[in-house]
Amino acid sequence: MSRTPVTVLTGYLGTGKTTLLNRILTEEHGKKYAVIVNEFGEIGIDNDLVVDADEEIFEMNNGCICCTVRGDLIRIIATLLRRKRGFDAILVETTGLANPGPVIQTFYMDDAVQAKTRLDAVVTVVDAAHIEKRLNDSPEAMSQIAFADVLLLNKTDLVDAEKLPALEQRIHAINPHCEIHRTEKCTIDLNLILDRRAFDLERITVQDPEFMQVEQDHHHHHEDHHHHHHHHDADEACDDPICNLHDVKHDDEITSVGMRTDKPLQAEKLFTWLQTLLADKGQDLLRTKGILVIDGDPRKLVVQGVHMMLDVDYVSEWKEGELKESRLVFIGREMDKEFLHKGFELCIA
Amino acid sequence: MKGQVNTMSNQTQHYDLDEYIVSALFSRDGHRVALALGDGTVALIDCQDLDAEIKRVRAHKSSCLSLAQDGSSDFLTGGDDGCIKRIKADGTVEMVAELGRSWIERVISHPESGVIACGAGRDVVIMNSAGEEIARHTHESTVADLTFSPAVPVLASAHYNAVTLIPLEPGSMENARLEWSGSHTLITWSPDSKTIVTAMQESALHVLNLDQEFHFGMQGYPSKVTSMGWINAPDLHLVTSGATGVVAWPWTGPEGPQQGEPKVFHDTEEVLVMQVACSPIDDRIAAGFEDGVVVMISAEQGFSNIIHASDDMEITALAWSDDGTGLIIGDENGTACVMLDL
Repeated sequence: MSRTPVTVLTGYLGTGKTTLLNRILTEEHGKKYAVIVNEFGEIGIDNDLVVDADEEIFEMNNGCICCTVRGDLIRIIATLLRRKRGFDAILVETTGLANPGPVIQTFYMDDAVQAKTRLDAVVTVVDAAHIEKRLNDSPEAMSQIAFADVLLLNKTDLVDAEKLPALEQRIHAINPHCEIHRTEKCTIDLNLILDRRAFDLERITVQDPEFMQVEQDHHHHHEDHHHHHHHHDADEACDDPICNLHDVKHDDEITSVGMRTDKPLQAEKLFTWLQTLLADKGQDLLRTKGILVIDGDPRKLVVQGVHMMLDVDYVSEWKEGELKESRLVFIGREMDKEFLHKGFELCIA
Repeated sequence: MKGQVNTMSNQTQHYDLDEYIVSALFSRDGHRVALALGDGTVALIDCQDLDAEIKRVRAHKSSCLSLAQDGSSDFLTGGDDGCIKRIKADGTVEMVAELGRSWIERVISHPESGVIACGAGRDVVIMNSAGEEIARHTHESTVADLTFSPAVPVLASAHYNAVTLIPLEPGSMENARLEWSGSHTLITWSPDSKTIVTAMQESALHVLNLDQEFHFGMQGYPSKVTSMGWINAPDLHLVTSGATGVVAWPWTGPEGPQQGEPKVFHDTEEVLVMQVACSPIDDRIAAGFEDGVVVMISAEQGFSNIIHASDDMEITALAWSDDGTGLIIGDENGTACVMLDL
């Protein structure tokens, strides 16, 4: 039996998430969704396939503080899957103030859910007009971006078009992998957000965060903001959007660190390093993605992880003429770039 | 181990119900089998005439979530429409209670008093047999499972971070909260009433000894435990799913399972056991696997025989009749099998 795809829809309050949800429910796109919502009253549709969830975050009793699941989702999904007919896919809406981590982990940590469903993608809706403020005052808004596979930069009509590249750059600094779509009123071709297979090891792509930074800088003729230090008094206004985005640094700031090498890696060393790293730092490491060259194996080794859980498998062989290099990216908090790079380099065969 | 368990059924009948079988039970008098289905209907099989056309009645708007024996010949169902319904022996459906938007994931009916208890979201609701509310106990998290004490008029609810003991007669005792962190998903009370065992979200069991007030965990399961039961022959054992064979923990002596390793019956080493059902009269254990196979095990001799094989469809329901002569099997694809005179 094929596993039912699940899309996770997340976004801060007032971003337009409900608008998108209503569009997925009403527009013709060939698929019927069962929808798990948090506030039933918010969406205009009342049918058997809309289920009201009571967000219950359960800590797992396995000594790992980052292992949390949504107990309500486990029950709701098990029950929905007992209906043989009526829907092809499931959409889970998270509350605006939620960190999507526990929702995603539910799809890895519960046997029955894992056996019958597959996580398709995390779709995050961001309000272009308020995202700067949110990133400064809400760690949840930042984690919603960090977990995104697809990101709708919505309400672009309410901000200066000039500001958008800087916003996109800020988003990519947190999460280099998410596909950003600029939208007004969440108007988007639904094929761009549904059935993405973003967690499918065969389809994972790894974007080097620094490479993306350079590329953006090049396109938009900005200076390199990592080394951007112009000072002004705290109450003095600065018009540079980049400055506004970067001046306020928090301890819970999420960033990404990427590493690459054209030298093959030794599988055993790599597994030991990743295992230890995720066991120690799993709470701070939100997502891990990598496509790696392993010494003595013609296939690509793909890794894909959420906190402490890591999916690892060999997929297709490296093709002739393809740039054969290992790329690994961590998205997380309190990232020690040097430490990560050192660990990675020690895995070189 | 090879050998022969008495699995000769003089009467076996298969049915194709074409819907996920959520739960299946015999009535207490053994005259009927009810199967609660994923589309909100209930199928009734007449055990005196297995060839007769089965009765199919609508109990809930979209899905049945729970099923219980009620009285000597009736059944109760809970649904995702917040309703509890009584399915009479003749197929009549009665409304017992309407509890708003909550899903009724567990309903049970006390064999002696007829008192009904259900989990409705975070509430345990206790009702008389007419469905009139006697008491309501709100927990801090959703009620995952409920069971009655085999000895006294008390029920136990399993939820996040605790088991709560609740009197059936309001005011007869204070609720007792037995804390243990983690999500308790299933609950069973030992037939000697001394122990409560819960299954946890993280592939482990938790044991609460009520006599001597101590707790301990039992780990090592490769998968989440989805079904538990007790066998009392040759002596008391807790029987569970969650592994590739049927796990039976010896439960004699003051230390219970702490004193010895569990027995494992019919270990396939690959396919998980999903349902277990223990004979109420002897040493036989029926076990249903993820791949649709059902085996009958003699706990005393360790023998097992395959008695049923669905087409690679997970066994989702398995139950004995109260007199230990009948067995009902149901799978995720809607195939049901009744065996009588076992």
